[in-house]
Amino acid sequence: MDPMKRDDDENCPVCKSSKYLNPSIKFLMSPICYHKMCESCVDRIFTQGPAPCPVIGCGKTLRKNKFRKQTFEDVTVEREVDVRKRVSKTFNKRRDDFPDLREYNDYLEEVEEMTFNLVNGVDVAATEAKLAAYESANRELITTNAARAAAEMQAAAAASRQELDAARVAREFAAREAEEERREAEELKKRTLDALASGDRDAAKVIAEVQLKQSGERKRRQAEAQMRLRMLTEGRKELLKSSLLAGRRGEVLEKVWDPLEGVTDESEFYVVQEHYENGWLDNARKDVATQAGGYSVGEYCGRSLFEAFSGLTFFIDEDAEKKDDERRAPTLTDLMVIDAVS
Amino acid sequence: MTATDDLLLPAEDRLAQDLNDDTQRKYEKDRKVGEGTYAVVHLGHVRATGLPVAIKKIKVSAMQDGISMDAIREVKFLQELRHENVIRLLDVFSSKNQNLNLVLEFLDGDLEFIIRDKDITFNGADIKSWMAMSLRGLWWCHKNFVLHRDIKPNNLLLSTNGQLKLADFGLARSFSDPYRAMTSNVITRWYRPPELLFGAKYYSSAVDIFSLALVFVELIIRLPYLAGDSDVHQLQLIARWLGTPTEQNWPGVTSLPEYVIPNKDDIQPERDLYYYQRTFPTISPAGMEVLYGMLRLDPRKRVSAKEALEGEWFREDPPPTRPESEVQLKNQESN
Repeated sequence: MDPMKRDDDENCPVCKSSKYLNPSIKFLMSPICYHKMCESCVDRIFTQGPAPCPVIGCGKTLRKNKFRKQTFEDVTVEREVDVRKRVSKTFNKRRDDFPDLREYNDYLEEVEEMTFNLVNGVDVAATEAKLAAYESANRELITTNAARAAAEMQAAAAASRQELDAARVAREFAAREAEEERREAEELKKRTLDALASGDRDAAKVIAEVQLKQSGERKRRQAEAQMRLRMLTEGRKELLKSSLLAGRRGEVLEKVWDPLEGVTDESEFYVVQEHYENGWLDNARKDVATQAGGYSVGEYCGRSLFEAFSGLTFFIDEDAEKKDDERRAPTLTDLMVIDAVS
Repeated sequence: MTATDDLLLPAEDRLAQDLNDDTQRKYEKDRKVGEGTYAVVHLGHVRATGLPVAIKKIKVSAMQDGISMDAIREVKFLQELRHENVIRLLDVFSSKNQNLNLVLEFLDGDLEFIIRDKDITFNGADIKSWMAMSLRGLWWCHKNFVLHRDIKPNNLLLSTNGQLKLADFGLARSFSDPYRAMTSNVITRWYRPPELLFGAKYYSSAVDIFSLALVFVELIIRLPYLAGDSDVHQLQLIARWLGTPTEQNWPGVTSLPEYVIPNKDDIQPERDLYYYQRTFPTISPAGMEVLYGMLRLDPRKRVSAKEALEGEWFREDPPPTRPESEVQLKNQESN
C-alpha cells in the first residue's frame, strides 16, 4: 500500500466506511482470521456474542473480546509474530537446560521448523499435535522457566530503579558540595580581606594556601564519589548477568568426584618434609605420653612453614585492586535480592 | 548512648561508635529462637534485603570479667575461616550494655534433627554427601590449624540449599606448640576420643576425626553409638565396642595421665575392618574403610580429613547426593 495514500483510503471492508468519511475511525482485527474491520462493525456484529466473520468466504466464529488493534501493517507479519509468541511460550527452554550446545541447537532448529510450519500452513494438524504433546509433557519445566523469566524482568527493573536512586543521590551530593564550596570561598575571601586590611600579609598567604588545598581535596572526593557510583552501576549489571548464568537447574551433569572441591592443599613455596632436624622438637618426638596422645610434631612443622611464608606474596596495590573487584562482584546479600524476586 | 555522651568521646571513638551503629542498623531482630548457657540466639534479617540471619547475643555474665572465652574463640576463628562448609560470620557489633552480638549466616536445620526425626528417611548416598561436606569443612579447619573440639550432630548445621556447615566454634583452639599443654576436658562426652578420656594434654586434629566417625555411625544406625553416662562409662563403651586400648594396639597409651583399663575382665581386641563391614552392611565395604580409618583407637593411626576424602567410597557408586536435592529431605520435616 502506498504510505502517502493510506490514511484516507483505508476503508472498512464490511461497511465501506473510510477515514475520509469518519476521521475517528479505528480498525481492529481478530487473531483468528486476521480480517480487519472498523470498530463500529465489531460493536454491531459481535456485541450479542460470538458470530461468524462477515468477510465473504471466511465465516470463522469470532468473539468481540479477542479483537485488537493491528501492530504491523502487514497481516502476515502480524500473524507470524502471534505464532512465534505462542510457540515460544511453550518452548521456553534455555541454554542451561541442555548439557551441551549441540543439543540446544538441535532443539532450536526443531522449534524453528514447527514455527515455520505453523506460519506457512504446512502440516498444521500434525504440528499442533506435536505442540500439545510437548506442552503436556513438559508442563512443570515450562512454568518454572516462565516464572524465572518473570523474576529476571523484575530483578532487572529493581536494579535499574536502584541505579536511578544512586544517580539521584550522587546529584544531590554534588549540589551540596558545590554549595559548600561557594560558601567556603566566600568565607575565605572575607577572611583574606580582613587579614589584608589589618596589614597581616603572612596570614593572607596562609589562608590562600589553605583554600587551594581544600579545593583540591574536594575535587578528589567528588571524583571518588563518582567512581563509586559507576562501580555500583557496573556491579549491578555484572550481578544480574552472573545470577542468570548461575541458575542452572534440571539435569546437571554428574561431576567427577574431587575430594577437596578444587581447593589445593599444597603451598607453591615449600614442601613439608617428613623430618626436620631440631633439638627442641626431639623431646616432643620422643616423649611417650605426647606421642600416645596423638600430638603431631609434623603438624607443628607444617604450621611453622605456613606462617613463615604467609604474606610473602601479598602486595598492597594488588590487594586493593582485588578488593575493588570483590566490591563489584555480587555479594551474598545482593544475590538475595534476586532470590527474593524469583 | 545519649547525644551528650557522644560528644564527650574522642573523635576516633565516635567514629568507631558510628561504624558500630551502622552495622547494628543493617540488621533487625525478629524473634528469639534459642537460649544457651552463654548466648541468646535471635532470628533476624538484613533490613535492606530481607535475607534471614541468626544473631547470637553473648551474655555478659556477672561472675566473669568481660566476655566469655567461648565468644572470643568463636569470633577469632570464624573471622579467619571462610569455606562453603563452615558457618559464615557476617558481622559483629555491640549493643547496649556492651553486649557482643555475632551476626551469623542463617541455617535452619541440623543433623541431629534429621537423625532423630523418624519420619525422615535417607540413604547411603545422603550419608556420603553429609560426610563429604563435614570432612571438607573439618579439613579446612585443620588446614588452617584450628581444632574444632566439639564435633557432634547438632553442631553440623544445614543451610536452606542443603549445604552442611560446621558451627559452634566455642571450644575451638589453634594447634598447640610443642610442650604447651591443652585441656583434655573438651568435646561432648559421647563423641570424645579415648586419648582425651585418658587425660592426654598433647593431642592433634585426630580428636575431631574420631568425633566425626561417631557421627558417621550415628547417621547409619540413627542412635548415638556410644552414649556413656559418665567418663568411666564412656571408656567402658569404647572398650566394649571398639576394643580395649592396650600397649599392643596403642603403644604408649599406659603413660597417658589417667590411663585405666576400663573393663579388666572383658578385654576386647581392637575391631578390624571386617568387623565394621559385618556390623554395618548397609554401607559399602569401601565406606567402612573410611569409618575404620577414622575410628582407630591410636590417634596416630587415624586418617586425616583429606585422606578420608580421598577414600574409594566417595568415588564409587552411588555418588554423594547433591546438596540441592537434600533440600527435599528437609522439606519433609516441615510437613
